Amino acid sequence: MARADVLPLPQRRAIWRVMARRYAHLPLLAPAVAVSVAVFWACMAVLVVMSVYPFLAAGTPRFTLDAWQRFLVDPFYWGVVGTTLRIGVVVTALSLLIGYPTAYAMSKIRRPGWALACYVVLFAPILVSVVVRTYGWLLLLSQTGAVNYVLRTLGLIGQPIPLIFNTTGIIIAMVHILLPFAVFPILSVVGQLTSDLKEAAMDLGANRWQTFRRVTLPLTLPGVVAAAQIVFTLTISAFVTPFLMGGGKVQILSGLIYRDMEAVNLAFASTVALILLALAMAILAASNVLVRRSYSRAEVLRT
Amino acid sequence: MTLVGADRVEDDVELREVSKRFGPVLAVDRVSLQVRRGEFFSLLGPSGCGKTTTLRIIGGLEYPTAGEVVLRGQVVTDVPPYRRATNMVFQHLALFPHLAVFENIAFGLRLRGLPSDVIARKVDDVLQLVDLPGFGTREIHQLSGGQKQRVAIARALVNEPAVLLLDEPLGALDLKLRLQMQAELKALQHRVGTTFLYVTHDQGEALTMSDRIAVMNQGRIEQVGTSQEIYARPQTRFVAAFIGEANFLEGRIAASAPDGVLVSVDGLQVRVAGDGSLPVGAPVTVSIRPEHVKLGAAAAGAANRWDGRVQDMTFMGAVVRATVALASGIAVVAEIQNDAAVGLAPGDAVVAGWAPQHTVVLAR
Ligand SMILES: Nc1ncnc2c1ncn2[C@@H]1O[C@H](COP(=O)(O)OP(=O)(O)OP(=O)(O)O)[C@@H](O)[C@H]1O
Ligand SMILES: [Mg+2]
Repeated sequence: MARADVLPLPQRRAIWRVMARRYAHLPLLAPAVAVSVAVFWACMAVLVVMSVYPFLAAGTPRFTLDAWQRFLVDPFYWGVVGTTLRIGVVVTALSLLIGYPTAYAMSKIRRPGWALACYVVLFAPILVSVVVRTYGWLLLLSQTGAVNYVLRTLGLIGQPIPLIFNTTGIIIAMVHILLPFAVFPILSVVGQLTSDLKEAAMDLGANRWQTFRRVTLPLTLPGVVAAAQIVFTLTISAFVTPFLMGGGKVQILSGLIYRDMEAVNLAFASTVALILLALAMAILAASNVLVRRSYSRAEVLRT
Repeated sequence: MTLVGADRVEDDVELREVSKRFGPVLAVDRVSLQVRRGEFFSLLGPSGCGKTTTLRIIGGLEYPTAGEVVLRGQVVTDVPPYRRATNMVFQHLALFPHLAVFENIAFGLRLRGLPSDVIARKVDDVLQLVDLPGFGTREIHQLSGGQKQRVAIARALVNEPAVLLLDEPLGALDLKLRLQMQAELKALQHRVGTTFLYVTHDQGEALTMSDRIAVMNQGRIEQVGTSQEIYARPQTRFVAAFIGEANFLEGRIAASAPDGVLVSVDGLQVRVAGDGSLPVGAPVTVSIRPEHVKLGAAAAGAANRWDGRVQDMTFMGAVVRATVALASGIAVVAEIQNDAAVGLAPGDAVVAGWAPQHTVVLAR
């Protein structure tokens, strides 16, 4: 390009036209870049600074790793990390177990009316506030709620079982709230699967289960991984539902952040926020690596 | 009926009065056929005539509305595809995109639980057979159209099916590659000796490759026979028109002649070879292939010979196609060698004729 200025004018113009066409789409990125860079990364920077300069707000800033140290050496906080991850894993697993068959069945619906009805039933709850839905679950799952009533009437249980203010309640409500986020990525992949590959598998001797295991599942795995990542990150970072369903009895990371912010312990809140973020990113990265490794391992076996 | 005896080759496939209805569409209409062991058998017919459906019924991917499917003497109508001794090469191949060539081919063998060294050997052998040695590690998207074709054939063939079902496997290839693959496929079938049931809408392909052909039309089988039989002795007008080309003359049986019958066509008395089974007065169609219509001196000895005038001539390379209007107003198309056409031009008077043994009488 250094020689562009010595080129004759028409050629220089042509180069500019090519460049203009090649990069014409870049301005479209601007809003996303603005939001992502300005807001997200600026917040990150603020969080990092606040976690090590606890008195920034008060005046005299002083560098200290107190907040980090307090979190990392206290087994209580590691227990909170454990609870958060456990809820994340269980909610993700249940969402996939329910979401995959749902998506599969929905992709099979041929009548447009039925398909639309399914979409509405599945996705309409997204339009209702999470708080409202969580209160709905509180009513349903309480000691005197409908679920316990039905179970007792059927004679399945003698005493009402505690379904709220514990992890069980959090998990039930979270699975319900996040189910659409599991169904949608899977649906978009399952819908593209044509029947001829399944027929080819059956023709080669695979029964229904083997066809699912060897053809359908591997080909829809990208959708499953995407669903798992979305549900998992949304679960471990959720606040309102775990807060209400847990009733202050279940400690999770987002609850810690809220508690310390209320107590104007901004350094510790920032630290927990960063740790939560790091956990989410680490697990996303790990799942990506695992998926890639499982593909390349299959490749090694093949050769 | 399957007769197993010394004088009769056992049938690998038999369809008994098989029908398949999709809502209002009768895709397959009371089809009965037998495919002998080791045969290259083609199902030939125009698009939508029910070829794929018939093949899928044999493979178990479609359940017939009526009738029975018999494989090697056993009724398998209710047997699911994964327990049938058939393997299919699909119209759109249906290779597994998430598996490399080796695993695509090994798919069926793995399901049968064969030890991995046996699988490796079988896959290598079949890759050799389809002329793709060393292609095992390739991904499917790294293959050309012809190579994908071979992988699809290898994936089916490696399971040593009683019958290999092929659904227009060469349809997507360009002409040159298609001709090459036709020859290879025929040679392959010869080598492995597996029964091939081959679906195509390309009559040339069916004629060159098949031991026997079943011509299908609108869900029904019109005729079953060798290439020569189908071509030289079509039994219906559809078969005569679909396989090669033909002049059709509509008339009535006028009389029995010593060497056949006499058909009156718009005042012309056409001598045709026939067995005299049709009564005098019966409406018939006389079919003559263009290459059997001679012009000028070549028509001299022909029993059917009329004066006419060249209407139109089309140069086709080795041959010239001439449309000749006979005196009575009937037009026939003649396909003559290039050198025999020298000196002939549209508007010229010419004698056109053909021998009775080259005509076929079809009842209407
Ligand atoms: N699943 C189906 N549902 C409804 N109709 C069908 C179905 N499959 C096939 N048909 C109909 O049955 C008839 C025969 O179809 P088939 O696929 O067997 O034709 P074909 O001879 O293989 O044609 P082509 O040469 O175009 O592949 C067609 O009219 C087709 O529209
Ligand atoms: Mg077809």
